[in-house]
Amino acid sequence: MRTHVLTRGVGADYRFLGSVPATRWWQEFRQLTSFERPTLLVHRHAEGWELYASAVPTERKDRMETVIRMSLVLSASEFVEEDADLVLALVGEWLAGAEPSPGRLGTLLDERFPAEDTEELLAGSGPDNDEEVAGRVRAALAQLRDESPADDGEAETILAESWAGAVTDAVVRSSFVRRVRSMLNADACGWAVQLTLAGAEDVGAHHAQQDEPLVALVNERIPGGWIELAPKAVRRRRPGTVVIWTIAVATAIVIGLITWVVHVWQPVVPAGSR
Amino acid sequence: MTAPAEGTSLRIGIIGPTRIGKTTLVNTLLRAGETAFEQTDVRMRWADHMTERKILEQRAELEGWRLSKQFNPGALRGTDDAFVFRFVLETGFGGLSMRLDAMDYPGGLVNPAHRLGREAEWEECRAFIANSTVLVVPADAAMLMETAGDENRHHLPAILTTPEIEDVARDWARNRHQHRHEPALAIVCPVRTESYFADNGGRRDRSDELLEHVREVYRDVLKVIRAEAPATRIHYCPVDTVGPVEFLSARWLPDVAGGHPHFSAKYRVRRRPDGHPPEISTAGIDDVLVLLARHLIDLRHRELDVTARHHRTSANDWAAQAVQDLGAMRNVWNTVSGKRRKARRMAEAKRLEAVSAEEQVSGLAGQLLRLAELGLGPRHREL
Ligand SMILES: Nc1nc2c(ncn2[C@@H]2O[C@H](COP(=O)(O)OP(=O)(O)OP(=O)(O)O)[C@@H](O)[C@H]2O)c(=O)[nH]1
Ligand SMILES: [Mg+2]
Repeated sequence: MRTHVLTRGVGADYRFLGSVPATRWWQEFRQLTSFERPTLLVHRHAEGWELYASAVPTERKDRMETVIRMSLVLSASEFVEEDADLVLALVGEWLAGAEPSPGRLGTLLDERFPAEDTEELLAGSGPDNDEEVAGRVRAALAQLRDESPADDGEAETILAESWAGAVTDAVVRSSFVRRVRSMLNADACGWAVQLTLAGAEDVGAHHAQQDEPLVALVNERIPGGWIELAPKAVRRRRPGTVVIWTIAVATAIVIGLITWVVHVWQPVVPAGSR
Repeated sequence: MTAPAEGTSLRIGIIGPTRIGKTTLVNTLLRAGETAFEQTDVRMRWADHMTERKILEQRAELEGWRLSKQFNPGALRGTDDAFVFRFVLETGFGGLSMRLDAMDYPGGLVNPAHRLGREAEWEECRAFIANSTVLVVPADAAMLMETAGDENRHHLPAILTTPEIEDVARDWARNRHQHRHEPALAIVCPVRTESYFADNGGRRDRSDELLEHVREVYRDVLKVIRAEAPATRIHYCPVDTVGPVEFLSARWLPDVAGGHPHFSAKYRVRRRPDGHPPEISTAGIDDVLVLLARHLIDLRHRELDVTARHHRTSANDWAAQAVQDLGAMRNVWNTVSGKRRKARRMAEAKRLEAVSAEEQVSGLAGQLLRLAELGLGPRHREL
């Protein structure tokens, strides 16, 4: 499991403690959520899975007395049971209550990333820190997993492929966790996202533009708890004016040719055959 | 109100380093825009659900200190990823409105040393700013005022990223110069000005000093705009986004990585004589809003004026065709074939379009006049 941690120091601005992720793939949702607030995104694609957990508050403060946050970017290209357990512990803790929150994760990360060490990691940020950073995160997640009771959540689950649900709804939350589990196992692909800004309608509009299945937890009251999102509309293109004209002109030429051929060839036919 | 999304949206480009006050400024601007200006009905409001939610989220943080009565100069979280605030400016005439976008981004991107690995994002922000119709440059009044005579003052250009701002301003100005038939507007907005004006609860008026510092520190930025787009009007609008706070002290913190030190200021909340909790009391933001509204309405006014003229000319051309004398034979033919009828119909349709556009042109001209009559506050200067 590749691990990247984004945070800042008293002075140093937000940056990754180790190497920088190859892409900022989570930006796809930047108009739909505030990454400055706890947001959780999980993406499963052909090459593997990736997770982004943003704005875990720390006990550290910057020079302006703003609470410093930590964001985690985890990814893997193959299934490792232990990693999946750690990720599920994170997701379970995140969605334990009616309001998404990193919960205990903040304290556990603080224990593994005390101020002094973090400043040091920030000062020398780069790929050399990767192993160390990953080890600390793994230790925090392992503790979270060991502390959290095994919970299968609600028995009921949402079967639709793509949906948006109210984050306050327990069935919706447990369906979300189940979807994440399937995604980690490669039984499902697409997105599982918990967003702060978008409502179900906004998520629907976003989904209509892309092809992957999407389940979203939104900060909005939804009658019945959730709504199904329609798959991307298959747009049947109507032939354009150019095509119609081309066909018309081609037809006219063919008819013209036939008429001409019939006309020109007539006299050549032997008189006796008439 | 009519659908806001008429045509493409106009852009406001904000350029400034991290923690300067970009997000707070956008938020404050929208708050000011929510109440219509007297006699004008000009209003600004959010255009989509996400912008509304974002504004509300931030407001909770920006206003939390009122209850604790401890002003936290860093209450608002720094921005992590770019976000486009989408607004609607209601012109106050005939339901005409305009779409307006402002991109907010992590100010760290402005500084090449902090941008590592995020170059593509910066390019996107930079392009957005360069293609904006208005350029807004927030400046930190406390930093400008409280470092005067300080040995660390030479760090200001690096901390305030004035060389990078100059670069972006150059691109913006060049772009504006290419559109020189349109008016160009740049606004320099010192924020955290509470302790330097005596009009919003402050005791001393040090506004002249502040203006001097802005002129000195942002000299090259102003120079490049004047050189590249001489027709630009550069306005100076100092803004209190908070109000009842007073600068207390500042110190320089060393940088762990051996870079430039960090300026850190402390504020105290001014006590109210009646003992009530302090209230947010902004100042100067209405000037920014009036300038923006004037500029945008002026743009729409010009655009509509061109359209109206176009329709008028076209109506006249069709009308002329309808009565044109082409000789007896062709006159008869044009009448029989319906060509004349068609020309008369087109002339009437175009005339109606022209009348409607002309009404909008004169309506907007009226709004511009009203906005001009409102005038600008005593804090405002033209640079
Ligand atoms: N006293 C006072 N504080 C202000 C004013 N404007 C902004 N601040 C404070 O300055 C802090 C930083 O402002 P932001 O708006 O977050 O700055 P930013 O430029 O968006 O910062 P980044 O997101 O890091 O780029 C906030 O916590 C505000 O409360 C002002 O006019 N007066
Ligand atoms: Mg910001």
